[in-house]
Amino acid sequence: MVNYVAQILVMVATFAILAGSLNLVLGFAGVFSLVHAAFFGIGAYTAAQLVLHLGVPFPLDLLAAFALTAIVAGALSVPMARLTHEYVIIGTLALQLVLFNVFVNWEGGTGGSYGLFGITRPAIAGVTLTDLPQYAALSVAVGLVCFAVLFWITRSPFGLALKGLREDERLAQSFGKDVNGQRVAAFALGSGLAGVAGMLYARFVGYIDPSSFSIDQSLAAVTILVVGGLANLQGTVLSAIVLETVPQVLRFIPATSNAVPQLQLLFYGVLLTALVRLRPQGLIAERPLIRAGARSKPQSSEAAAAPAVPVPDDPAEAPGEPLLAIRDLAKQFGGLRAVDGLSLTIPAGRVTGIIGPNGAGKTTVFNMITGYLQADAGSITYRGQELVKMPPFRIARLGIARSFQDVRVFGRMTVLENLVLAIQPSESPFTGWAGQAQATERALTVLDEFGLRDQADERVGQLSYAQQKLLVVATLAARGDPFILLDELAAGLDQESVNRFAGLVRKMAAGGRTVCLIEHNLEFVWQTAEIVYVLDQGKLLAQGTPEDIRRDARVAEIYFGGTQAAAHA
Amino acid sequence: MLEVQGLVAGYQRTKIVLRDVSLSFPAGELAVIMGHNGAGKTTLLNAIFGVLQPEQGAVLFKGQEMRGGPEERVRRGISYSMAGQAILPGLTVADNLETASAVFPTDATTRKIRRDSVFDLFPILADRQRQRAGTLSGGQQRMLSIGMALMRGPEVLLLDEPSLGLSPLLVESLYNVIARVRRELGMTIVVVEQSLDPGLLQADKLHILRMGKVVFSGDSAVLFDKQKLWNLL
Amino acid sequence: MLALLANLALVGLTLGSMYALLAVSFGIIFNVTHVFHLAHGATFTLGGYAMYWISTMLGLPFVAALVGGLIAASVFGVLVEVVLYRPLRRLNSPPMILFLSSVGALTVIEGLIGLLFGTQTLTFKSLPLEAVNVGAVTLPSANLAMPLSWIVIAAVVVYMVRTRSGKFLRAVGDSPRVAMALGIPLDMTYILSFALGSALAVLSALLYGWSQGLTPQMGLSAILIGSAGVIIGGRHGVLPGAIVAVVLGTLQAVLVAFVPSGWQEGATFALLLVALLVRPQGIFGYSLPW
Repeated sequence: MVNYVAQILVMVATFAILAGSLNLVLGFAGVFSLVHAAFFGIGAYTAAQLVLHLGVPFPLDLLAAFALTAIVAGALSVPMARLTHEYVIIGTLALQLVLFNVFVNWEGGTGGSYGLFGITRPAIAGVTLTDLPQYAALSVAVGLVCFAVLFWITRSPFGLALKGLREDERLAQSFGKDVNGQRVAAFALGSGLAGVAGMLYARFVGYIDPSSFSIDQSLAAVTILVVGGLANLQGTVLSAIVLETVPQVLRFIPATSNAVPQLQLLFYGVLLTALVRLRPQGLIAERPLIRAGARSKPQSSEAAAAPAVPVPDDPAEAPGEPLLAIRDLAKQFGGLRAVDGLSLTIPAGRVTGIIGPNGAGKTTVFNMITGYLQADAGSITYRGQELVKMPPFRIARLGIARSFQDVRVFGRMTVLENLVLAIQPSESPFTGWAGQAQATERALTVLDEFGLRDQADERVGQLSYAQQKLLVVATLAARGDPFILLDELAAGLDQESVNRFAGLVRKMAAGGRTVCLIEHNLEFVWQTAEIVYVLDQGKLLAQGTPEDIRRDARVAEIYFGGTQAAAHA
Repeated sequence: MLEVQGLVAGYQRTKIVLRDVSLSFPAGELAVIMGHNGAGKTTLLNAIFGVLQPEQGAVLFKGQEMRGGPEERVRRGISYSMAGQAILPGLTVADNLETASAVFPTDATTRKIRRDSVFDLFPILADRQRQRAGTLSGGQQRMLSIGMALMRGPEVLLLDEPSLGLSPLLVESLYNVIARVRRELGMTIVVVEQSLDPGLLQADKLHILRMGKVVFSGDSAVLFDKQKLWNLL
Repeated sequence: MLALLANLALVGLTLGSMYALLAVSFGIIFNVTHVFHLAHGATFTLGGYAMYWISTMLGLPFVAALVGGLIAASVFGVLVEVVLYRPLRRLNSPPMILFLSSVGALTVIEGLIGLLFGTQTLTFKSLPLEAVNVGAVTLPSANLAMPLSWIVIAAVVVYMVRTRSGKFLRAVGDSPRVAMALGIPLDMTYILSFALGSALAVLSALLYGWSQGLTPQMGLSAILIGSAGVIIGGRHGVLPGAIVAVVLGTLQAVLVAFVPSGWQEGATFALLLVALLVRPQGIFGYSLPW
């Protein structure tokens, strides 16, 4: 009896590690990987070969399994990092089948379809763990270590960053996050841990063949993960316990013992389908990583007052000098010339407005400045540095921040998490903790200033439109970037909010920062901008002070239609 | 012809956009609905067209309440040219018109007559029948969209910001076509716009929405009274 | 060498034609509904086993088996749409959630078939067709599979372009928003796409079952080829996916001359992966009209 329980414990530990490591990749980083079983296999085969041919002792076999798998996974994921949505599914599915094919055919490395056998149990302090309960104890210990690592990673600044890139990759990039690099790191780590599970498995059963590392195993890991809850590590453990115990128990019932793999498939399939169908929202009910909770209102400390992105004391430009220069910029979509030979400069320390009718090319220009769109021709220089061809996250790190036309927030994360992620200076799980703590303090102060302190632990998706916009502005204020681009900030707001936001924008500029805004709400522009550029059909039509523009008959005509022009002057 | 009574509507329960809107659109009239971004203009059209169901109130067509969805509307004779890309980009111009007329069975003669009249209204489309609709310019796409709406032979035509992104010249010719459609086919037309030069479109009525309520509903002559108009918006 | 390659190419074209049919079946569902219908693999498997059951176990004539398979597959496909995808869409569930439900459905069918029929490879005994062996691949005689597949594909193209419901499929796939504005019934069109796509999968399963035999897991690699064909080809229209699938099949066969036996599948999938990485937006884009 004890042996039965021990066996179940080993399998539970193994698959808990497998599912938990997948959670890092899928639940936290949002990468829908179907290749996890193959990495399980690479770890198993690595450990097996090292033990069989070199007599490598524990824990070197574990470390080797982890390292090799992580390296292979990391290398493979670099080209795949930019795949999204169904491409990830197909890509990882193809990879799984390729690797499986290697397992089946590479007799030298994996023993082919016959597999490898005679893998001995490890020896610890001179004792070989042939006893099942002993090996069970080892498995549980390894499991605990793996989960400790997972908890540490996911609770660290890196974990918060992963959630952000899962929620909205573009938004994360606008805060300077290297989303591709982070994805590769998460994928490598998660796959490496799958390799550890493989080592545990191989040394337990003593004989491995490709059938244990097939796509079915990937799907089983996905099932355990989903049943336990995405991005919920405690749930993964519980789920692994239940989902592994049931099939193991079935083995001991004579009526079912022959058909256990099929019954397991059936059981998993029904569970997964039912859960997804009946409680799809419940699948992603994760808990916030940072809570404001019962914290008292923070006292303003120096650390809290310092901006996350330091504004240079001595900006290179005097106010009024060109900060950003656009020359002959062009962008075409099919037959449509969205931007057609545009040249203008944004002066430092001032508020510049860009207006023009719909379709004039304004947001296209913003997207090119911030790197989300590649210009067809022309140049954009910021403090002398060429921005064209730079990826968005690098442009963001130069000190250029932006808001998006469709209000973008990390919807399933809390208000506080949103702000902290935006301002935390480092994602490192080793050294980033202090920075995150400071960022949290600062975030709470900022939320207080903006009147959002009470919503700190609420999911941003629940906030009203105006509150979400307020959070966007608060984030930009807190980050302290020297150059801020605002895309239709005033859209959809009532007059009171418009006035309030105009005040906030003026305050930013007064603090030495440069603001450039796109607007349809001309009241807002007249209240904030010192210089206005008017775009029409991708070209610059007029420029000047707000007074100049209001008097300009050409502008009135393109905007308001001929006879209405006189009214707005 | 078309009427909305006490309409309260929005998205996902938490975002109520229209707060008790009642309007009527008599047969053969051209009405313009204006208002700022977020005032509820598109939501109103969506409610009329059955894209969303109102929380309260009703939409009536020829006196009868409509409770179904867009299919019911099109079947009854209401066509909609949406804002943004309102054509099927992967299909050719000819296929777009074909598809529009195929939805509810029409005999070949009627189809041909309607197609010919669309090309008469928009000669540019006649030249580009084999062109993929996604490669047409913004103005041409808008023309095609209206053409598609007309293929059904509707009695009511809804247009959401038809002038969006179009140059003033194109807007003028578009409005001329709209006026022609109304004259020659006796259609009831409802146009939503953000800004409008009254000299270009001879509307009968103007309705102004602000924050989900009707703040003005009357003769379109007010479009010429700038001061009053800007105060209302 | 040249003769060998020519031979292999012919075999490859036959294999590829089977794959093309599969790609078309997946493409109809994917292009119209934009759901990554992984459970299509289950439809494939289910159709194959249904035909086996009717013809070999019940002893009924082949036509009955074919019809039975078509019905079983269509019903299953429509069921998945109505019971799983549609309710989840109504809740605005993200695509990943729909995909997970598809995984669940696939797993259930795989387990069920394994329980009911066992896991050993089954062959259609009652069909008098000769088979051809090439390397590790067995194929139905080329005389039949290739023209059959392409006749069906051509019929599908004609259907999409000429008939009213075919136009609905194209319209909804192109822009559901605009299709709705035209009065096209979205729900019914989705059901149609699942019924049609699932039925087409059965034809492919028939050819596949003849040549390779049936296993409960046959759905998965079939689905990979079919879906990859559609996504690499570019997801507009029926032909791009078919063409890419033919190329994949041909490649898989021709590789026999260059790569040790057993490795072709892996090599083919590896090439597929490279194609995916190099040109994810699809090779054909909009250039083919259907």
